[in-house]
Amino acid sequence: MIGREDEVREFRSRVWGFQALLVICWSILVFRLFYLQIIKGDALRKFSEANRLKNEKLLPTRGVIFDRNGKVIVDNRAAFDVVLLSQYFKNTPDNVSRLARALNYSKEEMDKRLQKIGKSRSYIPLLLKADVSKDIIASIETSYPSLFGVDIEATVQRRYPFKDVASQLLGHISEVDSKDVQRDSRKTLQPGDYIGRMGLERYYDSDLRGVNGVGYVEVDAMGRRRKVEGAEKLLGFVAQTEPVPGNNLYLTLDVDLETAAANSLKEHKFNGSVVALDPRSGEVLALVNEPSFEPELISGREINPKVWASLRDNKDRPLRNRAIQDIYPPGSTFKLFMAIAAMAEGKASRQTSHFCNGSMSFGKRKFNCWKHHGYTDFVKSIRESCDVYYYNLGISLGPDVIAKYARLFGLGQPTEIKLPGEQRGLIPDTQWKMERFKDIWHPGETLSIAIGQGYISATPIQLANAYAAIGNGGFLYKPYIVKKIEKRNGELIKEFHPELKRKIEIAPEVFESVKDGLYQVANSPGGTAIVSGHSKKVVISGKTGTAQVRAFSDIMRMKCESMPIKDRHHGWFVGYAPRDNPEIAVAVIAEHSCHGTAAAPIVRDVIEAYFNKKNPPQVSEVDDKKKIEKVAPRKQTVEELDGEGGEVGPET
Amino acid sequence: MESQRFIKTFNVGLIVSMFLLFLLGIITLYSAARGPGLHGLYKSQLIYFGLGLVMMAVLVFIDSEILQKVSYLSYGIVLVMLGLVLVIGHDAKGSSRWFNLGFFHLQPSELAKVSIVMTLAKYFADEKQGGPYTLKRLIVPAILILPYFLLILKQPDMGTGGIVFLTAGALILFVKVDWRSLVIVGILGVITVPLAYQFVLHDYQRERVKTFLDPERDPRDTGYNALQCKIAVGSGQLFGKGYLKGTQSQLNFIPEQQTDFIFSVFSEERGFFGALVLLVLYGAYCFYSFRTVARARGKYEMLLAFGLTAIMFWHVFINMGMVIGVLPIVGVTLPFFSYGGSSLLTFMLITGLLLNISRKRYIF
Repeated sequence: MIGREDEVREFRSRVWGFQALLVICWSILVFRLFYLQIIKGDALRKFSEANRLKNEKLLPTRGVIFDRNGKVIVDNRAAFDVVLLSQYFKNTPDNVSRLARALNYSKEEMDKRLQKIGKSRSYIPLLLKADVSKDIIASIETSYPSLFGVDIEATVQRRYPFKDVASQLLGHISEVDSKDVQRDSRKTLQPGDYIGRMGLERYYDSDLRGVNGVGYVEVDAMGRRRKVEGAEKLLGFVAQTEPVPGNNLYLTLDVDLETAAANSLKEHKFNGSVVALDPRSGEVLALVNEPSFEPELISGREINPKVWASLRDNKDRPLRNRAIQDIYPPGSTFKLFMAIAAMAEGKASRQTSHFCNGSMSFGKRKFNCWKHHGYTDFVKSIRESCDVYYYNLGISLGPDVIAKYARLFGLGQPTEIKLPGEQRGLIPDTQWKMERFKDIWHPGETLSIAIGQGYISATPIQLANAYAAIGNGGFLYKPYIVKKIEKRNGELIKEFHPELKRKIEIAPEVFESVKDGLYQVANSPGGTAIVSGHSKKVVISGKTGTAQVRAFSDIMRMKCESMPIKDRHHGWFVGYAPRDNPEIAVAVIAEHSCHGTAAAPIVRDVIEAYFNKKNPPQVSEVDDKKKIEKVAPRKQTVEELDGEGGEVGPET
Repeated sequence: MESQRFIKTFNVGLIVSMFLLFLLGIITLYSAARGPGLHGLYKSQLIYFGLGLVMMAVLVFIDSEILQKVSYLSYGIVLVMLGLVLVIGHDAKGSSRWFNLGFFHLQPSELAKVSIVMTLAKYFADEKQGGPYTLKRLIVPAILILPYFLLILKQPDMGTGGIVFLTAGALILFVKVDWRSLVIVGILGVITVPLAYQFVLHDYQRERVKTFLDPERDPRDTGYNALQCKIAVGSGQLFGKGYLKGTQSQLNFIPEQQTDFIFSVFSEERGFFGALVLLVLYGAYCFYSFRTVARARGKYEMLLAFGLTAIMFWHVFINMGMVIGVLPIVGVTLPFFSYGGSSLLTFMLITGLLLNISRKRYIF
């Protein structure tokens, strides 16, 4: 016992030292509390009562999108939302009905909105109505101060001034949901942010979005935001990080051409797609899909669910970027690659001739041509789109050689345009057939492929790009749509230049021969688009095509126009102008239009719009055109004189 | 006569100050936790308090010889738990600090504070040579402390890690360190602190330190807390805004105001005067536990009591210091005030152990 007492004695004196330390630390706390509560207390009390400081996210303004001529095609405008700070709002029947009146809400709608009170924290503003008119702002302001806690919030609304023009290409934006935030690997997204949902808005989202800022907002005792002088001084620091605005995109797109193309497709009353490229660079000049939609309607803080549902569930798929996302059999537009392959492989020359008596027997089956062509040489086979001629070429080439040449021109592979969701299409060969169906290639299938039917498929942009490569003599570019990205202050961030995917090494004579054929299609008697695709303004070369919707069936024998619309063939026209050193290549698919000749006038409209803009027409020229139209209504003539029909393809 | 002696010898001051602190704490907690999703927190806090009282009643009658014997065992068990919690612990806000036992979230780092004190007390009590200690003779204690410290930092929980470090440090100073060794440690500290800051701390921890030193740097998160606390405390003035009338706290301007920042709620509502009362109560608690230290009859008991007092002292000083902006923001709870079962039970465990030691002096 005594020994233990000895052990501890020396420590006892040390306890005093630690007690002194406690007194010192406590004194520090007391002095600090005195400083805060007594010396600064009055000022901080006033601050806490009159103003409540909150830190708040400051949204950056999203980047602006310009067309190739500097026209604004997507920007932002100021908008005003009505919000409720429920902690300040007196939820009496009188106040609720006054609020409903101010907002133009029915009682049910108002109640539905107010139900959200209590589900979120009381100091988080609850959205009552987004993007309200000036009238509503005025009526809210005049109802004040009885509507405590109701506030107007200035926000930014994405604006698409050209309405439904290029909508699928531009895309739209919307508020992120919790999944988006989770998926975001770089952890830059916060609830309440907006991100691009389709098209360029989505592909270039990280460029366009900008960086959030943080600011302090003073909220007064009524829940209204206001600025209080000297707040920074009192609190000892400036509390603000400015948001960084998004970067601007400059496109290769010409919005005038885009509008002209969309109008043409609309006038002809077809759903479908138009792609116009510059064969000298791969720049996308126009990219149109019909039907279309107005992105602004689904880019706000609040989206009308009915509007969204009507777009999403529409059978005509207005949200679809057909130009890159839909695949169609290329039909007779594929014959060009057959012709090139045959000539390059030495299986045909300009003089190679086959006799067409309207059909061809192969194996046990009879393969039809759409017309009795008689003796047909190389150029005529393109001009008049003789199926029998290509059945013969198909037999001599075989599926794998055909596939090789089609792929040289970029078919069956993505064009690598920087847009979300591009489809690659399909160029079948024997290996593919074996992997896909565990079956050998049947020779008859080669005949279907030879005229662009069967398994084969392509997107409009692939065909436009492949024809651009024919027109320019073998330069296959990667199509691109964004020319440069700049900061808001004009500082260049990224510039995009033409990118050659490959130089197609085929003798120039081959290109010259097929280009003769393409020229004659729209410029020589007998050409399948001599009326529908011919232009007085500029020399258009091109090729008609028909994509069968229902490949092998009895209705094949029926006349296309007498079938139900959904079973009718799609019409293609793909071409370029002028004949030498073309400046524009255009592919048009006119869905369920039965004939390629239905698509040709749209190509002509686009090409003429392009050249009219480049060299504005003289007054007399315009008059001439009108006169011609009066004398001979175009539509009638088209059907009489052009004629690659839907009744093509192998018979079963 | 017996009962009178019992009351006289029993550390009544410690119990009374604990009850008064808890009473003020639960009243404040009711006010702090009225926001959405927080209702009824005070009820579970009351249940934990009841559990804690039972635990204390048992603890008081345990022979401290037994405590001494299980000291190293407790060290091992807690060490395993600290390792395990990193692997299978429950994740919250980016840190894995506790085991989810369904009815209770067990936080091994809370036990670590008590366990390290028991272990060091046992070590120094058995060390017959006694102080002053040179660095060489402190190698074993350092090896005991380091795994705890590092495992807790890894969670990451800088607050508790700091408490473990500071408590162990205080205990070592208490057993007396050779002055030359102290100078060397001081120099080493000056060198290693910047290195640790650069390489050991997590980004968010560095941010907090930077924000403390220069609030203008990043006003986003850490600066926001510090700022709102400052407004809350300062606006309390002399007598406070009144119970349930603190605008800062009632409008939820302060995140975590029911746990680490509850002192801001209290001082907003009760003012300078209330804060002084609170400091006096904590001071009284520490005074009575220091008295337990001074009167302890064995070396182990004395060192144990001292270490437990140090835990309490550091918690109060660091928590209040960070709320009123004299220390950087670290996650350290305010004893008997902050919401949380692990925290409350730990402080009641400490109180129970202190009572055990103070009782023992006279029972023999």
